[in-house]
Amino acid sequence: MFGWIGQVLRVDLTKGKISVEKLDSGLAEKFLGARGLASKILYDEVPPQTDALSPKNKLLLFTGALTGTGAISASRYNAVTKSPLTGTIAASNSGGYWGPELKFAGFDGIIVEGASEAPVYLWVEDGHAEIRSAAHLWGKSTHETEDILRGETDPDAKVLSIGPAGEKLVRIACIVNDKNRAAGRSGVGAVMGSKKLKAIVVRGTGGIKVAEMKAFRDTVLDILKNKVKPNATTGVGLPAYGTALLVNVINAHGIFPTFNFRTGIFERANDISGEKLAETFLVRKKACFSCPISCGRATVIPSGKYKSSGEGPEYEAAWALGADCGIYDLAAVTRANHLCNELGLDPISLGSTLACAIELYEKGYLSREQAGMELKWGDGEMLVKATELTARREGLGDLLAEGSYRMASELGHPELSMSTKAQEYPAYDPRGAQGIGLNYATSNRGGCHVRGYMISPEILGSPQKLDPLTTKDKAAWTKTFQDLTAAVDSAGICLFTTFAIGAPELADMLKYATGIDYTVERVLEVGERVWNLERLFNLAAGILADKDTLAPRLLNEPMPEGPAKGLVVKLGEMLPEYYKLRGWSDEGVPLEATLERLGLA
Amino acid sequence: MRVQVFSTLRGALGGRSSVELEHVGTWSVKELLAELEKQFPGFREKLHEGVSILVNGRNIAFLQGLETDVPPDAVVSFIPPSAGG
Repeated sequence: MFGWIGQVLRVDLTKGKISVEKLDSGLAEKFLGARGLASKILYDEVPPQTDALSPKNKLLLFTGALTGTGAISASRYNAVTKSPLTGTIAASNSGGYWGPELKFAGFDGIIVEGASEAPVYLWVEDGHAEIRSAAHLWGKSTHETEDILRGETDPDAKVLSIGPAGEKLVRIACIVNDKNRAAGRSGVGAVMGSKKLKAIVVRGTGGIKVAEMKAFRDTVLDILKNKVKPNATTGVGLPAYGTALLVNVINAHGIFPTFNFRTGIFERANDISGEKLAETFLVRKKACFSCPISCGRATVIPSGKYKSSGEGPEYEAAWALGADCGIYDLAAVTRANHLCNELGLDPISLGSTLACAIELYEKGYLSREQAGMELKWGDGEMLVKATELTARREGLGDLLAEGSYRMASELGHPELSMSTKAQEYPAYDPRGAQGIGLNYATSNRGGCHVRGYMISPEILGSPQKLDPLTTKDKAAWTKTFQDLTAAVDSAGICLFTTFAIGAPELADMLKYATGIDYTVERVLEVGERVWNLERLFNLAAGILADKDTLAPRLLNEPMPEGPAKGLVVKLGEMLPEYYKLRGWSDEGVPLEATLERLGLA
Repeated sequence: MRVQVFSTLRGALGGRSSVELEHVGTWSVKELLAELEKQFPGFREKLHEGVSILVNGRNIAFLQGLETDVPPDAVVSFIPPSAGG
């Protein structure tokens, strides 16, 4: 095969058995890889009603057709499983170097099934794999684990692991690779922890064959020279300031969620911005495999009580750990973000869950005794302490570890959880960007911006400007963004490339890499196929159309200030049109004709 | 009136992130740009393609463009092409 390697590793942790299987080339062509292909395998092998933390759930770590090929920003792998946070299908995506290394070692993906009785790690080296004891690693941070395992195996090995949060089955735990890159959302780290799988260490010295080398190389170089580098976002803004340059931008638009989404303007936003980070803790920028954008931020807090080094915060983390909790102490936010990487926590869900807890406390629904500490807006020390407690499920952390929806429901006030399908929203208040509201409501993994980034046309004006305050045309745009994103994720390239390129460039890279005649239409069809497959999984899991909604605050409480003052999300104006455009029934179920057209019947 | 610029546009205000301008009555965005050019020579030149102008958080593309009113107490933001997530 070209682009793909053609082999998959299957690891049964219950039996301690490892086997190598051929990749089904027909499925690879239809689903590309990563998010798409792994979702298809999960759908075929795991009944959707399965308990996410039981041995019957499987964890698939899959690369895409372009991962590791040298295509633009082709570093990605996806962790696909049933989510213990949402009950939906989970597909969490990460960059760095682990994904390409897996292909260099001779595998497109790994299917992990069953569960070990004692902690183990998997060592994969050039076509071979073995299960080893991880007894000495249990309880250690992702950074400690990586250092120890590289010492035990190969200094050039790439390591993916969970921290204490995954071990403790924290529902907002992530999987971390290359120390600071994360498959962050939907609690995929808890699934790995439930299998007692501490890490997967990979070393590969092989290569990847592409079908038409010259055409592939010329296409990639043309995209680099004429699209990505000259683009003001991918060539200037992201390299210079990282994603956190959005802090001031989104705040200026009045949709920077503050105090658990009670308003959209944070007075001290600049104190936690990318510009401020560049003036203070930024040491250098950092890139993933074959990425010319280099949005990663290596950061060091040189002294004081938060002294530490690591990466980030990214925009989302700066918001969740900062503005959403009313915190403008950048050192505390940065330290908490470093801890999230080390302990294996999703900073979006953590920050939003803490913000929810502060509001519950303030309203008297969570007592001082239950919390075990005082909770108040703007307290950086509280944030750092809560992060450590959550990863270990101690005290307040045991409540936060369940995510905001379960925590708030347990305390009798689910309406204070800013989530859809129990996953916390990211850093955009949809009352001032209606399209992102529709995307949150319909996202197949719950509250999420990177399933269909409507902020791009609504706020950033790319590829064209759409008025963020209106609902006109938002259903069609949301569908297109969701489908294109599913294809990008399945190909194994970074979503950030789409600020500079679109489906035509993706189709060209896929065509020359795989030798298959991918076109714009075929690429978007792959995305639509993946989207519908995910929907089928969720429906079979019992997640029905009534869950395509938003937190009551966003639907009923008008934005109190700023350009969206007086507005709520007009979901009812968009959702029926969205279902229709998707070829779904009024109940949000894909029609037979739709499934037949997509080859899913 | 407060004029603010972000990230890569900071050079347009001589390295500052914002300035306060005092005036009586309502300007248009076009008049504001002329005033900024007067106070910060080269300002307009630095507004490369893709820069968004917001008046009180609303992109002037959805208002009256360069003819949009700028009241004396307005916050005007100049935003370079940005992205993230």
